[in-house]
Amino acid sequence: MTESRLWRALALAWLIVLLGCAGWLASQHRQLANRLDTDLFALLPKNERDPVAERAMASLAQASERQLVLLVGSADRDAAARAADTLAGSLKALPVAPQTQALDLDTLRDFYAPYRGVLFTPADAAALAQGRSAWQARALQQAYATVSTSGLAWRDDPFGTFGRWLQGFGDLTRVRPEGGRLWVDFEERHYVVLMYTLADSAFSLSAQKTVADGLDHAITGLKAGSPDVSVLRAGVVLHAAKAAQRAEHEMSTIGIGSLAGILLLVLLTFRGWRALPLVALSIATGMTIALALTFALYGRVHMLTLVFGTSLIGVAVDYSLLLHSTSLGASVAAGKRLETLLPSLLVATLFTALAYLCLALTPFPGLAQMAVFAATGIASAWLSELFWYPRLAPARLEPGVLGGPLLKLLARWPRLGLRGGLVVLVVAAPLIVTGLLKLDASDDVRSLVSTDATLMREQIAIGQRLGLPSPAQLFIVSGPDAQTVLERERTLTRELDGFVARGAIAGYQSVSRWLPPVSEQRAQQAGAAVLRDPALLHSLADDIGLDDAWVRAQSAATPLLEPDVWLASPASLPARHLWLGNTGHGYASVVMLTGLAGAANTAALSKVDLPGVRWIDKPAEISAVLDRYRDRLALVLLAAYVVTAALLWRRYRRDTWRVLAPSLIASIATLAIFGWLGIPLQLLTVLTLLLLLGMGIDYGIFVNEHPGEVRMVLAISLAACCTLLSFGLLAFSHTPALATFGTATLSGVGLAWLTAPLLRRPALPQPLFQTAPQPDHSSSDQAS
Amino acid sequence: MLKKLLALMLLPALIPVMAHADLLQDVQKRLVDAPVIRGEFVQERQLVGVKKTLTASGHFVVEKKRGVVWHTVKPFDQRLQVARDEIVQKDGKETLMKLTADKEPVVRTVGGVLFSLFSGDLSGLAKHFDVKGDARGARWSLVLSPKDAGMAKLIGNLKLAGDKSIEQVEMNAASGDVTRIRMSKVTTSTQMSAEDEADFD
Repeated sequence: MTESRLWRALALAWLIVLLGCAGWLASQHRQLANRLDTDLFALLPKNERDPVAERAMASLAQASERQLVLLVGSADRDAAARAADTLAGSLKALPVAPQTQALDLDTLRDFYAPYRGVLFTPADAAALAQGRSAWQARALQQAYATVSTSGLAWRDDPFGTFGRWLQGFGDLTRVRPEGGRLWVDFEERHYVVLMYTLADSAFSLSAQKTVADGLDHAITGLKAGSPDVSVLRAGVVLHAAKAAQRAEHEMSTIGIGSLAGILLLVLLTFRGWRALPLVALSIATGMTIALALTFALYGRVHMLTLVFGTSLIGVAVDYSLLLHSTSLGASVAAGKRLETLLPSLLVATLFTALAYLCLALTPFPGLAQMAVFAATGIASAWLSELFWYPRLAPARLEPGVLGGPLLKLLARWPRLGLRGGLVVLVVAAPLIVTGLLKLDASDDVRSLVSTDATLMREQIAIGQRLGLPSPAQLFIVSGPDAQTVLERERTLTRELDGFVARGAIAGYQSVSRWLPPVSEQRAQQAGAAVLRDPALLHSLADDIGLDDAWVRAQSAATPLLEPDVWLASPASLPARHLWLGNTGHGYASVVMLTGLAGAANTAALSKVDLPGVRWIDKPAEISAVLDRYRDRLALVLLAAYVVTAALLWRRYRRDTWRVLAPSLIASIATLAIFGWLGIPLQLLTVLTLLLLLGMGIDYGIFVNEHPGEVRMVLAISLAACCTLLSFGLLAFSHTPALATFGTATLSGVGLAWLTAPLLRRPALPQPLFQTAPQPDHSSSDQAS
Repeated sequence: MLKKLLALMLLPALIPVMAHADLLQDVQKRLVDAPVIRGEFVQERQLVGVKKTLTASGHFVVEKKRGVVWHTVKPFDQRLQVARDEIVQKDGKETLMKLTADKEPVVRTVGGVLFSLFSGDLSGLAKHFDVKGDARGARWSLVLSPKDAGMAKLIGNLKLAGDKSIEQVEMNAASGDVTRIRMSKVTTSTQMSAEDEADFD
């Protein structure tokens, strides 16, 4: 069959596909490198039930993703200033632009001045109830006062109300300008604040690395000169650079480690080098086509997909190893050998690929990419064997240095009878049951995403010193139109004032502070009628010596501030990220909190129940999604076992359990081992168990298809070793998600491989293919 | 020839710059230093668009640790209390305005400047202002311009003049309002009187 013209054409076509993919990747490699994602949160689930919350998070992320903030601190002010200047000087060469303070009081004053008649502090608003004479006295005092803190001429703010309203913005930031630098003091230390924006060009991985390395270098240089100076850093770019660096390191470790191990294993097991080309081609096709397809399908590919994908090296070789091992010493043509093994190969591949595709059942974009990568890689490796094995496989393959002894050793692999099985059960059951009882379920964001601890500490310290709001816990206020949103925000902030008074939070940031609702502005305007009273103004003008034009100007009602005007002005810059505008589900805004700490306070905030107000706690929400999907996937796992059992029943009948048991036993034992090790049951563990079902079944199928063939045990042993090598290396990943995958697969695949031959069908030794007589090869007599 | 001319033209401009550090030290040395300084003042305000000059008068107390009280008696009883990290404005006993540095960091800057200004701590002012002036004659005079762009939006410049104490202060606000203060009858002592204490309340 495989010698037909059609098959030759297919083999050629597949070669063209491989070369095409490789060529495309090579020609595009520069551009593709720019499409690599290092964003740590790309792995996190999208909130599909709450698009507004999703948009809020995106808006906030966008506002900060290009920022780099540095704090240069010392107990001595002058030392801090000198160090900051040195550091700023050495950063000049990097693709970052110094950024001045976002909040410019001058801009704010000029923008809000026309609306001064509707902007009052709560204290002044209350005082508007006082009569004309009280306000006249205030205005006169204001005129005679030594200093005006608003910087406005008396003529323009005779009652000082606008000046006081502007003062209220003073506590929005703890940063203050002094001598051309921005300062913040914290616990007896003085810090100079340096703010940078990443240049457009700095979005590529290499530019991120340049920035992170350049900064590290500059800081090291600075500290060598003045050890008393401390530098704190915060910026998405630093995390990204760190993640990229780790990912690259892990990819090379796993890649080189697996390749070296696999090549060594192949060279030792098979005599000569002739087994190598197909093994190498399997890996090459699997990786190349998977990479090309993933890039073609996704706009951006995550670095972690590639790290995970690298471990696929150990799985892609399975089919060529299987074909090679089973045909050791065989004197049958390669095409015939393939045809004999094709049914079990096909079933095994399907199950493995399907298991990997289950990763895509989750709402995690990162896992879906990994699923596509893995399934494509496996399918490609399999197709390579299908098309090329008949043409490339050596006519005869003999066992090598390791191959011969291995075959002898594996031939002694016992089969577990009923009695043996009971003994094992009695011994293992208590261990497994206690392990399972120790297992507790816990899904935490940290099980998916790991951040560099040092960077995280510095970032938190900067947040504390600058009084920055929490980016992950906030309120979303929504309503049918902009004014409703602002009014609801006001209701919320009144509630929050209580939290501030109790010390539960330090403060909050809301749009309505910058843009009071029109209804409130109208009320203020009505209340401020006393300040526009011509009698009062004339009397003041007489006292001070002003003309009628001033009286006319002051007695005119000022316009109301509309959202569009505010949004279009630079005065909205400091708060624009809080305004989500029309989301397609009505209007919405974000209210952020500063100085939030403690679970009790968080719980109290989460209980705020007002119309149109929603509390968002991103870490808690992600954990809840993880929990939900863990339970859902546990059901999928059970269903998968039932469906698989039904499918296998058609072929294996009463021996179905022998095929399925290795996966099941390995899964249960892995859970018990996790219980003993104190690793909690996570969504990722359940996903790994799904993979384990797919891979473990392969072993079950192969040994039970040909129970008398010791070469089959060799085949699955080699395959298992390669898989263990790759996933074992993955277990050392710094990304907890990948490490969990690695650990669970290591334990599961290892156990499935050890159990599968134990449960094989009873059969007499019977080679799959007719073998030429071998001086050192004898059939096993171990079968019972 | 041209070069010489240029050099000559530049010379006067260079002198105050070079003398900067010495200038402040000279003036500071001439100022009387004591734990408590008190005196009287007359303040004239020239507001933008207002023809009349608004005159107020009162007395002040400087206590090195607690700060400055600027007590206007005529035409209103009004007090301005300035400490390093707090500014309080009072109408009689009623507090009109209170700004604290921990809530409003700008206060520390403004408060620092006012404190330095009224207490005659010129080195404190040098942090925020470029100083020019003349201290060669019997009386000294200084012009202070803000170093910081943010400060320049509040204060155009400050002019100080005096002998053993600061006798005249002119504050030109960026808005155009001008405040001139003349201080007189300056006396010193080692501790505050009961009257002084009352001003700090």
